[in-house]
Parts: sequence; C-alpha cells; structure tokens
Amino acid sequence: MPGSGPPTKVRLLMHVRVSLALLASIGAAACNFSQAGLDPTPTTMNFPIAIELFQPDPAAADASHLFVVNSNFDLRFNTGSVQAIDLARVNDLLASECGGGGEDCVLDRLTFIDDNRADMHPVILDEVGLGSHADGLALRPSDQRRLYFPVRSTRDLTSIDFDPASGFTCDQSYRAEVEPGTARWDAADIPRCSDAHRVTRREAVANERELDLTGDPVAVAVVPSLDVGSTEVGDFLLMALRDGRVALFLDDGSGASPELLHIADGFPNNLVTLTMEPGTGVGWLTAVGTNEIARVGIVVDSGTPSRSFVYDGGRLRLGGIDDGQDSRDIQFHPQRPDTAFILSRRPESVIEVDLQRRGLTNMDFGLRAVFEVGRGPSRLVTTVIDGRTFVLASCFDAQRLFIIDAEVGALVAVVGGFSGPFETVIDPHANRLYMVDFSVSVIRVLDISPLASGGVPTLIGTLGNLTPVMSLTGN
Amino acid sequence: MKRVLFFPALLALACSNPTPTAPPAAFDRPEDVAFFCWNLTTNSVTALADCRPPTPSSVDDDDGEPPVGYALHALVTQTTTGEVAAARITGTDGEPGVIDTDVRIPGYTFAAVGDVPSALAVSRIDPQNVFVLSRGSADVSVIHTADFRRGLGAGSTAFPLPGDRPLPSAMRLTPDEDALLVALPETGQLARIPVSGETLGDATLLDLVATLPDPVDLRMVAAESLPPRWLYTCDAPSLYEPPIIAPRDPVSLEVLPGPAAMIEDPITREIIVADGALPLLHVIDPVSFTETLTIGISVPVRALALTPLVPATIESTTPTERYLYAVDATDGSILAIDWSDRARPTFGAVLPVEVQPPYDRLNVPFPARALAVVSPSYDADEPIVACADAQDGGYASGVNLHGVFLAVGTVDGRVRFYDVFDEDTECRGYDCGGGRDLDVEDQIVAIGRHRPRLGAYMSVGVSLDPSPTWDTDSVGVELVTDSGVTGAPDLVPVLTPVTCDAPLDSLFPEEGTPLVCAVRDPWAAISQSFIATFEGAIPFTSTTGANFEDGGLTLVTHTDYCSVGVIGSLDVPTDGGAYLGGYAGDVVAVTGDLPPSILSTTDEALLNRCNALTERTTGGDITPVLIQIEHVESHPDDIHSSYVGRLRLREALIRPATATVADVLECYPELLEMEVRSQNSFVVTAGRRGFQHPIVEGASHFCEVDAARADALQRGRAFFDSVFQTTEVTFALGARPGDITGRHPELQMTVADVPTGLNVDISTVGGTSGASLLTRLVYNDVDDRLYAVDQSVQGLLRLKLSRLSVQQTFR
Repeated sequence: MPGSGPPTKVRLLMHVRVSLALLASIGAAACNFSQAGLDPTPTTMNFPIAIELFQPDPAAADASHLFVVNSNFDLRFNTGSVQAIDLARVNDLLASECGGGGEDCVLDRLTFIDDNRADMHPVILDEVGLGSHADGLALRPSDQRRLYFPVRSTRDLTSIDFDPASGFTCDQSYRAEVEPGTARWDAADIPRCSDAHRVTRREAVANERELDLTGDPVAVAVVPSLDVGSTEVGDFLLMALRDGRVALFLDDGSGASPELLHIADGFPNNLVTLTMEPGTGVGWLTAVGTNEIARVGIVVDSGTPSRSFVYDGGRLRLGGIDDGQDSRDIQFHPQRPDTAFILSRRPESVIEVDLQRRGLTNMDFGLRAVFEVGRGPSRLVTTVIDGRTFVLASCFDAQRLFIIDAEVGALVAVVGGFSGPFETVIDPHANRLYMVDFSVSVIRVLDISPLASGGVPTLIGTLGNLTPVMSLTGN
Repeated sequence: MKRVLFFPALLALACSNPTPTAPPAAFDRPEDVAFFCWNLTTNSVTALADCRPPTPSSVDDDDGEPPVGYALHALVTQTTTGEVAAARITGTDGEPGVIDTDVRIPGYTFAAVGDVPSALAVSRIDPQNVFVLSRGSADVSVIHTADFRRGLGAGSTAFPLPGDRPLPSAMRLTPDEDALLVALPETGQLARIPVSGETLGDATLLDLVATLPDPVDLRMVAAESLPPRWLYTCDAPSLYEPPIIAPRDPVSLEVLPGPAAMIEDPITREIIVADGALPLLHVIDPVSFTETLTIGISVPVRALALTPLVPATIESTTPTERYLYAVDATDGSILAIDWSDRARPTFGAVLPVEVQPPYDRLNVPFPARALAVVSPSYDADEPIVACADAQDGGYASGVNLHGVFLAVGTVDGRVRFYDVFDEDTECRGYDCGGGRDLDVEDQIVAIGRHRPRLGAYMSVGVSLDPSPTWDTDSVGVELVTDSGVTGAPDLVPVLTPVTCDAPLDSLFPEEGTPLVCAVRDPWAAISQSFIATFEGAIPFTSTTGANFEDGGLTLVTHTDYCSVGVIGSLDVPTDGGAYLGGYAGDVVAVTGDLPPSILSTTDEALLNRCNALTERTTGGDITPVLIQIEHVESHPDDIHSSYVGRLRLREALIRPATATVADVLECYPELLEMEVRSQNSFVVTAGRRGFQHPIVEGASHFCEVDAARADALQRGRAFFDSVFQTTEVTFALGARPGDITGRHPELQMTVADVPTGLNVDISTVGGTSGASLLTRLVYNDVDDRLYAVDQSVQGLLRLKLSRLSVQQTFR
C-alpha cells in the first residue's frame, strides 16, 4: 500500500546493506588466515613420497636406518615430516612377531625407540617436520649424515643433519604448546626444522646473477666437487624445477645451509626425475611430454667456486619408439657403463639404451630392448644379485612391481599386493627392498633374495598403519 | 518458454554424441597368441582346419568367416595377471569378443596359470588341451581347452621344469604333437617333455652345440650358384644389385648357447632353433632329439620366420627357393638366410639384400620386435596364378597381398611388409600390365624379393623437390638453375658437373649433365634434406661451459671432439691428395656475450677493449671471436675426468687478427659459450645421418683422419673447386665467390617423392589410440589373417591381408 513502510528504493538499499554485511561476516569467518591447521600426530606416516637408506658401506653391512619422507599430500596436517627408522629393530620385530615376516606381517603401531609401552612397535629413532609436499631426498655421499629435500611448499631446498645415534638436527622446535617433560610420543605435535634449514643462502653471486628460485622443485642430486673438478670445495647440489630449469647449490661443508649459485633454463618442461650418471658429474633429466632425455652438467670455477655454472649438456631422443613422449625415470646399469634403463609411460615399458651407439640419427639413443611393464610405471631401481643385474619398476596403476632380468633380457616376475607402489630402495647387502606404498601410507618390505635362484620376491612386512585415502570431508 | 525448450535441446545434444567409446580393456599385457576351432554343433573343440573359410570369390567376399557351425577362437597370455584369456574371433554381431571364463565372478575372469606366462602351444589336430609356458614360475600349465567356453572357470595343472633356474624362453609342440619342446637359455639346452593327454612326462635334456662353424662366404661361390634375384619392374629407374660381401665377423654374447625361439620346418619336419647368445642356428630332429645341423650366421638371433618354397626368378614357374628370416639380437635388424637346398653351397648364407650399407640387412628403419611370414592365397604346388582376384586388374595394388611376404613389427608400433613372391605382378604397371592394370597412377612399379613392399602407386620417381636453393645469409634465397648458377655469383659458388657412381643416379637437373647425384632406387632412397653451410658449426660442439687453461692456450669442455668430427690444423693428413689433406683445420667461435662481471665493471678501459674485441653493439650483438684450433684431443690423460675434450689453440686470433687468446681470456674470465666451425669449407649434414666424418681418436688421444672411413665416403666437409661425395649424395662446388667472407650461405637440397613402404600403424585403430608396444606377429594360415599382439593399447589385432586393413581388435 502506498505510504506503508520505507519507499522502494530505500527498501532496496536496506536489503543491499544487510546482504553485504552478511557476506562480510561470512567472508571474515571463512578467510581466517590465522588458523594454524592440524598439528601432526607423532610417528604418523602420511603419504610417504621418498625413502632412502642410511648405509655408508653397502658392500660391508646392512643398512642401519631407513629415512621416510612424508609429503602430507592431502594437507591433512600443517607440515610434512621425515622419519628415521631403526632397521635392526624392524628385523627383530619381524622375527619375534611374524616368525621372520610374511605378507600378513603389519607393524602398524609405530612409535619411538624409547617408548616402552606394551604392544607397540618402537622402531622410529627420530622425526622432524619439514615443509609439505617434499618431492625427493638425497644424502651427502661422503657420510650420508646430511639430507637434502626439494620442498614444494617452500619452493626451496631443505637440509637436515643426521646422527645415527641421536637423530636429526635442524634447530627443530615444537610449534604447538607442549608441556616440558611430555614424552615425545604423547606430544600433540612434532618438532619442526627451523626456517634457517628450509631455505638456502643467497650471497653476492646470487644477487649479481639476479637468481629467482621459483617454481616446483621435483628432484635433487648431490655431486661431490671432486667428481667435477680437481679441487675439494664441498658438494654441489642440483635441483630440478618442474618448469624446465635446474638450480645449482654449493654446500661447502661448514654446516651452514647450501648457497644458491646458478639457475639454468631451457630444459624440457614437466621435469620428473634427475639421476646422476656415475662418475661423470652429468645429470640426466626425464620429463613428461617429450621424447628427449636432457642432460645437465656442472662446470667448476676452481678459482671462485661460487661462480660455478650449470650448463645444458644436450639431449638424446627416444627415437623410433611409439612414441616415447613420457619418461619417468632413468637408471644406469650397475655393471655396464654403456647401458641405461629408461622407464617410459608411452609405451609403458623399460627401455634399455646403448649410451655409446646412436640410433637412426646422432640425436637418438641406440635402442637395445623394450620390456613391457604394467600400467602407470613410476620409478625404477636396479640391483645386482649373484652377479646378475635386475631392473625393478614400480607401476602405480597396476599396483605391482615388475622385475626384469637384464642378463636374459626378459620380464621374470610380477609382484602384487600393493595399493600405490612408488619409490623404491634396495639394501644390496641384506637383499631387502623397501617400497613406498603411497596410496595407503605405509612402507612395504620385500625379501628379494629368491631372485638369485629364479624365484619371486616375497612381501615380508609392512611398516605403518594402512590408511586408505580419505575424502576431503573426512568421511 | 525458451527456458523450457533449452534444456531438452541440451540433453538431446549431450545424448547424441556419435563418437563410439572404446570398451574398457580386459587384457593386461598380452604376449602370445594361439588358436583353436570350436564346433558349435557338437559344442567341442575340433581340428583347426575345420575353421578354414570357403575360398572367397573376391577381396570383398574375404570376410574370414569359417563354415557355418564353426567358430575360430584365440588364446592370449596375460603377463601382468598370470592368466590366459580366450576370445572368439568369428561369428555374427555380438558373438566375437573376449570370453569371460567364469561368469559367476564380476568382470572378466581368465584361466590362472603361472607367473609371467609367455608362450602357448595348442594342437592343430586335436586341441583338447592348452599348454602354457610361464617364465617367472618356470612351469608348464595344462588347461582343458573346452573349459574356456564353459563359463564356470578354467583350472590348470602346473608341471615344473627341470633345473634350478630354468627361465624358459620358448615352447612349441613337436610336429607329431607328442611332446613339448622348451628352450632353456640359462643352461644352453632344450627340454623334450612327452605329452600324454593332460599329463606331461619327465623331461629329456639336449645340450646344444656350442662350437662355431664358419659362416658361408658367398665370395667363394661361383657366380652361377649365387642366390637368384626375383624382381619385377615397370618403368623403374636403374636398380642396382646388392654387392656380394664377406660375412661379418662372428659375435657371441655368451659362452653357452642361449636358445631363444623355435620354428618348425614343414618340409623336413625338423625344428630350427634361434640362438640368442651364440651366432648359430641349431637344427633339431624332434624324434631322435638330436642336433642334426649347426649353422654359423655371424650374429645371435632371437626370432625366426621361414617362407614356403617360391619361384627363383620372375620367369620361373617352379618353386625352388626358401628363405629364413631372423632378428639380429644385437641390434634388432633383420637378416635373410638362404634355406633352399642343403646340397647347395649357399645354404645357410646370410644374403646381401640391400644396395646401401649394411648390405646384409633388410631395409627396416627401426629395431624389430616380431616377424612372421604370411602367404595369403598362396599354394606352393600352384605358385603361378594369373592375378588371383584381379578382375582385369581392378584389385592388383600394393595393399592387396597375394603370395608370400614378410611382416615385421618394429618398436615404433608399425607392421611393415617385405616382398618375397607377389602373385599379382603381371597385372601391375599401367604400361606393362598387358592392359589388365586400369589405374593410370600405377606407372612406376618395383617389386623385389627382400625389399620393402611399396603400398602406393607411383606416378613419378624420386627427385629433388624443390630444386636446390641457396639461402644467402639474410640477403635472400637463390634458386639454382639447371646449369648450376644462381643470380648471386658473388655470394655463393656454382654447382659444377659430376659423375654419378652406382648406386647413385642423377637427380638434378631432370635432363642433361648431372649436378647432383643421390639414390633413386625406390626402396633405398630416403626422404631427407642435405644442407651445406659455409663455415657452419660442427653439430654437437656448442657449449656454455668451456674452460680456459694454460693461460688461454687450451680449452677444455665436456665434448668428445673426435667422435663429433673436429680436426685441428696440425692433425690433418700430410698427404695433400688425401681427404682433408691440406685442410686449414677447424676454428673456435666464441658466441657468448661478454659476462656480467665485464659488462658491469667500473674499469672503463677494460670494457672498451672487450667491446672492441667482440665488436659489441649497444643492442648487445657481438661478432664472434674466431680462434684457430691446432690440435684436438678426446679423453686426454692429464685433465680431470669430468672433462672429455681439449682444444689446443693458436695464440694469434683469426678474428680480430690483431688480438691474441690473452685478450679473450681477459674479456671472458668466466666460463665460455662457444662452438666449433669449419674453416673455408662447408659443413654438410643429412637429415637422417647428420654430419658424417672420418675422424677418430688416435692412440695418443689426438683426433685424426681414419683413411678407411674417408675411403668409405664418411665425409662431412665440402670444399671449393672439388667434388663432395658420400654414399648418399654427390655434388661439386665451383670457385670461392668474391664476397663470401663473413657470410654463411647455405645450400639446401631435398630428396622427395620417395615412396613409403607398406605399413600398418597399430597404435591408432578405431576409437582407441595410444603408444603401442608390439610384441608378437602370428600368421594363421587357416583364415589367412595376420594377428598382432600389442601389449600396450590394442590387445590382439586381426589383420586382413587380401586388402590390408585391421579387421578386428580384441582387448
């Protein structure tokens, strides 16, 4: 009715103001950037992405510890982590609880080695937090007591020191409130590495060269300086960035974080892995979307090491393959320096290449053999058992491990029972294989000694609590 | 209203997608295939021959369907899951397809066998049982064949193989089908396992011979006894004979034999065994289980295919020749072996089959993964048939296969075909077919034994197209006339007359005195471009990481200079008549801009000197400094192992002539960006083989010219007033033009109109595509079809040969 209530325009304005106020309050609640997120529960594996063995002398002794890098892929927690697992304790538990191990042997109540509670599996020496979405791990070759991680959340290189007696050192501290005297397994958090260990130093050279370390780090490799020069200046680090660049760092061994020296671009986009060719100081890069395998080298400025460069060492093509446009890993034959194995997703196979003979053109690899593997090949590892070289390919989508006998040139075994097999590492002294089972956040332990007699490797244990992928709502 | 109509329209559009979606794959890494025939009336297995289709009256009627009441089936091993799957190949709509062996279980269920099943054997006469060899579990599983169709599951019984680590590589039934033969490469043995119904007996082992007889040397054979040449041509260019060459030096990969594959010789009923470790073929009598013959063939091989008897020459009417093809285990190439008559001196000889090196290998561009001999519509008792279904020549073409052919599956996912005996030759060629060829495009015909089958009609021969051109280094492009001159005589040299030596022929000009020679043989020609660049960069010599040493008199890099063909002025042959004798040597060109430490220096004098050295413009462009190379080394003993090559430089520069290497060192205190260029010559690169050269690393690690390689025409530098000759191209350049200094003109010649060999790309078939991995080719002589196994995408493909096409896929 005319005259009842405010005029139409005023009513409309009131509606708008109320709506805006409502939206603002909702927005403020939703965009509260001060929320810290969920602190991780100690000794939890959450989407492990990389593993490595602490084994300074593989020929003389079994590995003593296993490093597990948890990527926190689902961002369930506010940090990723790295754990050091005491393998002697693992072996003791496999023997005592599982009669030596078997496919049903699951050590799912992981805790720290000083936790004496009953019915637990005290195998973890230490654990610290690092950025989420770490994408690899490399150890200092000389003593394996420094670990390097390419971390996507910080877009930088994290370095952590390790002592097999005491654990990790990275100026770590808790973020959350933890009462003094609280056992670390009862704490509501894990200690995190300080920011000083999460980033690398930028000194004069980095500024002069206007280096901008951006992009996704995907892989890291350590190159002793004597591998590329005649003067001992420490260790060089190569870090591959997904967008086709490679960064060079120098760790001078002083204990400080590595220094960023150079970034080279022009490598293929969508880099996946970086593997050093033994004894050459040349890194080989695999990538998605190209049939080229790129190479990166380091040239040392012996007078001023901080002025050293990385350079593009040229590319070789998987020519003649249908179509070779997706390579996920490359490993070098442990016994033949002229041979390498490339893990390809197009086609899904392991391709044996001759590093000295060229193919159809001088830019093509000489092809020796192509071995079929399962769907979704992801990572490759080689081992020598009784003088025979085996190539093992983890196939994520096929949920299996494919094993090729390089001597006979044939697929000889397919091992199943996994959910998301990914990165793999082998203890050659103990003939043990440790594999990340990404999809269920555990580590699988396999006995590969049967390969010596033509048998099939057996699953002897699982470390961690099998955790299927949860929905984002937590249901 | 509009809103009401919009959504139904959208729904209709969404539901009317005409593109058929491929069904999800049931196979998981298939590897081997075998066949059996099923009697639909009695609901039981029957002899494979019962599924032979009636003889079609024409290509269109060739549907491969067996007589009514029968159905052809295939068995396919599944490597990932350790199973054997069955598929019905023939039938009406809805019937052909993968068979679910146990319908009680959701999804496809197949018969479980051992780990990594790799070979199948099924009787052609009475296929009651299927025998499956599993490499991983080293056993043979036996499955009752009928169980595959029962729908209630198919169990298997495993029989372990003898030995600690058998790692068997192959298996087949003996010709009498009373035993299985299994190849055991780990011990260099064959195992003979008696078969009695569903039961396997104890194995008997045979040690294969390990002594190496000499391979047959065709040079020692009288000319009239050499293998005949079967060849049909019509209006073809001159074709050359493959040369008779010495057999290769034998190569052994192991000490013991390593049996890799086995085939049956249907005439002698013996078994021929490919040895994947020693350069041998073993011939086995399966009855006495003894090795009756051992033949040396120079290389280990890993797959075999044997032709039926075929006529010797185009005039012959009686089939007298047979050929055994094998895959070279060292490089995946294909060799052809005479297998005609053991009484002949050529029996077992690896035959020369190509006119270009390597002469003793078929022209297969990529490593082979599988091979099979196919013989659609061929009867050795009546080999000469007047254009089988030609119907006055209507169907005779490169894609209609009637006769005997070799199919080769290569790593690039293609199946390629090679002629052995084509029954339709007399209908080919518009001018030669006696009026039976009605297609005017079929002008040039070349069909030759062991040569690639040409699928398309040829109306023009191999040529240079376009005509040769000179890119005059940013001044413009000049066309070379038929007399070899251009419109820029001061910038580029003329092409002068040459003589074409076999197997090259004149390619330019079309008529008159040859100026450019290349291969015109339609099988051997390669579609590629030849580019000659004046003072161009030697390929693979560019680097950003060169390091000065010795006060600037040497450069060390990561380049293996000898392998890429760099030569210094003091390393060239002293004989001026030899190739590269008298050559001034290659040069270093510093191509990188001044480093930031120089550009940002506060030392103005230094900056000015460096700008002058590089003639640097305000825009940052430089003129490369050129430094003479005196010596070139690869892998010298006295440099760090991370470096590979060393260049020893002359102190005085070539450009600028007033400077020295010390000046370069001053202006480039950091790592150097550089490349190596030729001097006063042209760098010639071919599209396929790149830059060829005769340079090798000498005993002292200095790079030197290998005379044998130079004589073999492995050359990459062309000079003024001389002929440039390789095995692929010949041309000659005239005198140095007056205005060429500082420029880099480029001659480009493109060989075109090269016919492509007949091939089938199995990676893209129907609605599915992807990267393929061909693993097996099996010819089924019952339905005259070639079956290909693609482990990656397509599964099992059925290829119709009478008109080459993919008829069906099973995945």
